[in-house]
Amino acid sequence: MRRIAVVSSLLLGVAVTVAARTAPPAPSAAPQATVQDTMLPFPHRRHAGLFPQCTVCHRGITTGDSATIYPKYQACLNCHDGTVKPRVSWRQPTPLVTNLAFSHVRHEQSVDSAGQTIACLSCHRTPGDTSDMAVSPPQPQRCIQCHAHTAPAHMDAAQACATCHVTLVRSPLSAAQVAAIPKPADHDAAGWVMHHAPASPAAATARCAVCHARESCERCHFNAAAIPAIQALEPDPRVANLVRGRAPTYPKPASHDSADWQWKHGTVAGGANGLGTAVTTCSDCHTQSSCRTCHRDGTTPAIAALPALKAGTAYGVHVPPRTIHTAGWLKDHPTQAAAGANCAACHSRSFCVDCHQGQKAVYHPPNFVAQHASEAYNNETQCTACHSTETFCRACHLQTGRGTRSKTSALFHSAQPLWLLNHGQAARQNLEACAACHTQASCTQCHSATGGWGINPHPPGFDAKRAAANNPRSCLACHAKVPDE
Amino acid sequence: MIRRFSFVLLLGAWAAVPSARAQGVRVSGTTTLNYVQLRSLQIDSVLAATTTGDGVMRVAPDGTPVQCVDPSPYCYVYGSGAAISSAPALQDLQVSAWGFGRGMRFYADLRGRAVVGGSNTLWPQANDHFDALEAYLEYAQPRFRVRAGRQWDVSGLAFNNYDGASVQVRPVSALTLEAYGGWTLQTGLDEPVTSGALAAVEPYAPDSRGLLFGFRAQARPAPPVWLSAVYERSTPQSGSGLYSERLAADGMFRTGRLTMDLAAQVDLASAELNELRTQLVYAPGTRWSARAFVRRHRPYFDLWTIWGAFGAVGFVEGGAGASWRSADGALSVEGQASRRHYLDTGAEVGFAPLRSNGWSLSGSSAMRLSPVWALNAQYGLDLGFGAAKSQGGLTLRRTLRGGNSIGITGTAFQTADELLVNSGTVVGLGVNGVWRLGENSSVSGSLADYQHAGRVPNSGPNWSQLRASLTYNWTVGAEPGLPPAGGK
Repeated sequence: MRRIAVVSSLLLGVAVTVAARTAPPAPSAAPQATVQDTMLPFPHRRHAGLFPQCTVCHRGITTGDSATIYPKYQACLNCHDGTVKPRVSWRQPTPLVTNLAFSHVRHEQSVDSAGQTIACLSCHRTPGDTSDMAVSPPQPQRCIQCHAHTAPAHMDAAQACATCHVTLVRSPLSAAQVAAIPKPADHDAAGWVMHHAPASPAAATARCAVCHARESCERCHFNAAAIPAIQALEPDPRVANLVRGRAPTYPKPASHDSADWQWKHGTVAGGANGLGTAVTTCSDCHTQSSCRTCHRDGTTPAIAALPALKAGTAYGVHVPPRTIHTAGWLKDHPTQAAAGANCAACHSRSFCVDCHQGQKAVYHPPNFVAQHASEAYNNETQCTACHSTETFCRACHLQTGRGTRSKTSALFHSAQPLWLLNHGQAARQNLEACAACHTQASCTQCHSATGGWGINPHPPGFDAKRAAANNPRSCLACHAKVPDE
Repeated sequence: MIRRFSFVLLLGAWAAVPSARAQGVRVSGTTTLNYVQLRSLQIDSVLAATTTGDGVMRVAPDGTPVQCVDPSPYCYVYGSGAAISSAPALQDLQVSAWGFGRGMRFYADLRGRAVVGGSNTLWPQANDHFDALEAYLEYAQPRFRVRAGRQWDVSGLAFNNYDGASVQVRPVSALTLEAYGGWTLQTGLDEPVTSGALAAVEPYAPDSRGLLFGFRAQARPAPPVWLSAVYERSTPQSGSGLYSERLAADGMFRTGRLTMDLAAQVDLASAELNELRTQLVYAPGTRWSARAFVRRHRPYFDLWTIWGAFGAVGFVEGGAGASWRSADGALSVEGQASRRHYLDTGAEVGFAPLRSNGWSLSGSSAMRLSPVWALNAQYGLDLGFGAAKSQGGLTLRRTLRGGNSIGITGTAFQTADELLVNSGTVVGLGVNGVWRLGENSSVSGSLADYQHAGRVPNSGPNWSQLRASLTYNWTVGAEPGLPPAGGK
């Protein structure tokens, strides 16, 4: 029983809802509705012949009296009283909310190029239909036939929008209508954003201001306060709400895509006199912040010439930190640094020291110690650029059983049964690797004129006198006297 | 030692606090705490009579390859000992202070180090608790600069520091001339050549400090041309002779899409060419580039060593590489290969020659999978006369809010050393991350475990190890015209 009651209630609810949606609205004594929510527009053609003049119903058009622009509903009841004609549910629409600056009164009082007064049908006649009361809302194309003869279309770049429209700030448009303002076709043209600046503040008012407020520009232009064309626009809270939180999208000039742009952008910005185009061109999009993501040196004139980022303004182009170095730079950088590359423009001193001081393990992967042998043997990286062969390599090798202070166990070089014979080739191919484990005394145990086996380690053509002149003390490690003595 | 390390930490705090009030000091600090493990190589023996096989290479009863030299009754094998761990801590401080007059500045890069746990001999110089890597007073004007104190010499010859003075003048904006001199410090050691640290590992270490004099010229005759030359001479403070006398020249030339660099290093005292290198880089756009290089390398040795008398020959190397990235930057790939050939040593043994060439091959790729996910992969192969390596790695990284990130890394490598055979594969898995605590401070860390799989038991090094690192970076104050955390 209870279940039946629930189902009955549901069915009743559905029935009431459907009935509410399908029942015609009750006529109101004073119906008010906007064009958007009105019912069918007035069927002018079905009333053909009944009204000799438009002003019979639309008297306010010629007088400017908004109360009589449309006829009263009671006028319909003269015929549609339910007896002569069936009752209708027409309601007087409220005027369209637009940004048009159009005045029926002024047009009604004007004459066209032929000296004729402008009749209503000049604009309102349905194109291609000559029958009586074939009217429809005029299209913008009809307006520009008189007002902008050279413009091929509505919203064309050649148009002065303010001819027919009020500025956005003055318009009664809702925020939703502002958001839905259509975009002119030229705004989608390639490169438009690079050249969108109006020729003058007056031009900004004549065209830009119809759709844009100052906040439209301030979203991207951090230097908006200094641009007269932007200041010619007025601020508007509707636009402010629309652009709030929307990140700007900055265009990228073609020059920035060139292969060597990263190298030469400083020259372009700096120029011979230290300022170049930094002030005039770079500052359209860049603040000092753009540069400082890479350039540590904030005293560079071209960077200092750019505006500083201020709270509450657009950020300008955000340049993410990036490297100008090509693949393989890690191995190439000694030459570049030595040749005079301005490393300090981007790097602090400690950046170099962190690696070259050789103790912070920032250059190599965490377990490099386990695999460094091949790089050391094969000179993939030059160990001595950062490490002391003696106090870094040898000290560790001695500590971990890989080095020796005296002669080597023949078994250590385990894969080389004849190591004693071919160690000379290995030594001359990479003596640094030997020194990483062996002290000089390891070698003089055999290669010494005063002890060991007296084996001469010098290569053919060895200039003993030059060696002695350079450092006689080193000769005395193996010889009783230096060659000249 | 902890007390001395604490002193460095306190020094950093002392320098940092007042700078927050008076913008006359900028202090950057990096505190790094590491955890490392290593295993010593140890020799072990078995009775030769218990081995199987004959000749030098035999097999012990447990399957371990051993080496036997008749008539010794024992055979030997090198294996790894127990893991030794160490937790070294480093405190770096960069201090820049000004306000003593226009153009005057004091700069110092100080380092404190101590072992806070485990062995105190694993980490290099762990028992040397304080270093001044750089500490100088500078007076700079648009046309000249004078520095006095400990400073780095960055040139085609080296990246070394010395105690002394330098004078740099710029008669025109495109030309820089610099003369410098003082007392030589050992590369990578930051101590004189008479340091006890060197004497501890080198019986023939010099007994006299080195005096240094150098002259450098850098010119930029036009924006795409950079040239530099440096002459440097180091002599013993007492006695005659030389520690070194060298010359280097470097240049870069850029024309349109082509960049060429040249580098040469000459040991004037020994009349040897240590390095001659040229490279061409072709970059037709921002998306791809290609490079090729040739190089002649012969190692350089200070004249206080006897190594220069041993006739090292070095090698000739040539290589090429290329890099490419997609238009949206979501994918980038680079690779390079090189081959080196060692010159005739005059010491080859005909019936037992060593390899006299080597190959190197490497490649890497970076993929941005989404705005927050990125994948990096890399591989390298290195074949040479003394060692060979094949290694690769894969890192998946997630970028979090505020520039934070976390990543997971997997690696694997094999090595084959002709001079000491290794076997098996070392595989590793680690996590790492960066967390920004504020605009001028961040913490980064990594933890990785490596396991030596497939290794012949008890034979050769065991590279299983655990590694961890925790780093705290901070900066207080800002130099005039610079953001607080400027530079990297």
